[in-house]
Amino acid sequence: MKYDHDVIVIGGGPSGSTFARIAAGAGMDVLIIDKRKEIGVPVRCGEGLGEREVIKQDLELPKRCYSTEIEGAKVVAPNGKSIVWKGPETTGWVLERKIFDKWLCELAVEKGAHVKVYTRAIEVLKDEKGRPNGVKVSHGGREPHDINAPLIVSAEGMEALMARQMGFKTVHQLYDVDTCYEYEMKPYDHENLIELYFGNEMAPRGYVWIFPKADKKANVGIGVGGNVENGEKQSGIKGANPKVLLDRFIEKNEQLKDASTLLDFGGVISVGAPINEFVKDNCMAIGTGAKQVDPIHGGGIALAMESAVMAADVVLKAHEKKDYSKDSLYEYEKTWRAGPGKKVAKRLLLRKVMEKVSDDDLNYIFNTITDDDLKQTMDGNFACPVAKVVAGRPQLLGILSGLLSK
Amino acid sequence: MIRLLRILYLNVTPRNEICLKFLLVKLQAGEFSMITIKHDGCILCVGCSSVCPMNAIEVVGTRMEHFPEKCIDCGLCVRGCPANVIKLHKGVKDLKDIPKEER
Repeated sequence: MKYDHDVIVIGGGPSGSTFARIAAGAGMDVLIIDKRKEIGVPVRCGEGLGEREVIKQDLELPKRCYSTEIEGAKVVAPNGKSIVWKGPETTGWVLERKIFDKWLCELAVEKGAHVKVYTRAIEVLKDEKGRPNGVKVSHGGREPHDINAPLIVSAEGMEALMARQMGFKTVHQLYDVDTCYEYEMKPYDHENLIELYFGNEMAPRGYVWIFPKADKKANVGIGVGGNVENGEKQSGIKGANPKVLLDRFIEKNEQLKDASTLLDFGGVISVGAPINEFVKDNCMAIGTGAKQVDPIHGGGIALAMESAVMAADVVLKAHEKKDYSKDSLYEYEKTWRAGPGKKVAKRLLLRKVMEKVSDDDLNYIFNTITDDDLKQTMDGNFACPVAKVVAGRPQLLGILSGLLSK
Repeated sequence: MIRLLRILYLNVTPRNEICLKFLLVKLQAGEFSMITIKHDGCILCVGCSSVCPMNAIEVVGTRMEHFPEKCIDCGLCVRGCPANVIKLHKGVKDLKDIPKEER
């Protein structure tokens, strides 16, 4: 069979563009298709990114791609007590996603990848053995046509409809998503710190974030557990209503009370476990579509770029042998599960434990631990911080022991 | 009745336990609903399609489109929508029965 391209990447976000950049740089014929009219628009993101992943890939982020640089994070307890955490892990940027995504995509194009925007994948084409060998696409709603390639990479993000057709289990359960709402507000005086506010009353099973941006702007957003039933939704169904909770937070905040809203958007982020398999014969899933998202903060850009690099390395080897079977692509899944996968699993455990802790206990925990303990917790070393907390409040042992068992 | 058969046909191999559960509830109650989206307030976040177990809602062009023939009326999209623009009309069998301003 004659193929149009070596690989088709569905989705032109950070993972898709990174994958295409590396694959095309090594001489593969890559096509990115994206259903949006313009890469990067609409933005559905809090826009924070740690610098580690960008440095690892030898990329130099141009000034136009980010709004401001971040020095650290400030974590605020329900009673207002805060811990400031500064260190190499917390430095990064608050991006301008519109420009950042386009910049990443441009890098891929410079390496020789082809990009088609406003092109929606409708259906995954399969050969007689059920292996994907192309996609049916429609450009701007026009007559669909087929594009063939021996390998299809799904980098679709949250909805991952094509990945579902390939047989990946990417349907999200309500328990494993946070529904979010975000405003871009001005003016807000900040100290170049990411601010995170916790509290079950304010944001049940989630948090409020304030990400500073240039010119006294800030992204103010909220994430609420998808299974929370504290608000009234349309048609009388009970469910999480992030917008109402965010408005309530802003009303109580001295600085934001009088600030204006410049942008108003929302979305759903995955905070669950990654899907059970990333590769199948002639297809693979990378990035948020494979639920490779940090379950604590819902950040996915760094993990997506990391997994795209791993996937691209494996695909290059497979391309040399012209063997796109599951066995030949499986190395990507193995590398991911041994590396970032372990970190994500620990974060997931932490999330599931923390959602049981009440506001009062949360206040106590924040009073007890230091920024170093916080760092250790986020690194996955729970023993020391848990010992500290349980020593003063033994009744928490029942909840927190879940962290120590593994 | 046609919708019932269609849903049964589409659910011969239920894709996960949730849709099977809702399908059973629906068969027992024998009632049907319609989903409508207020496109003015929609922020195209695809939250609804990421939680939909049946792929019954997706982006078409520049707006979300709902495909009633795939829908099992489980209401997950209503709960997953951060902008609160999706509405489930209980007991409505035809789009014509819904007031125009609510479509």
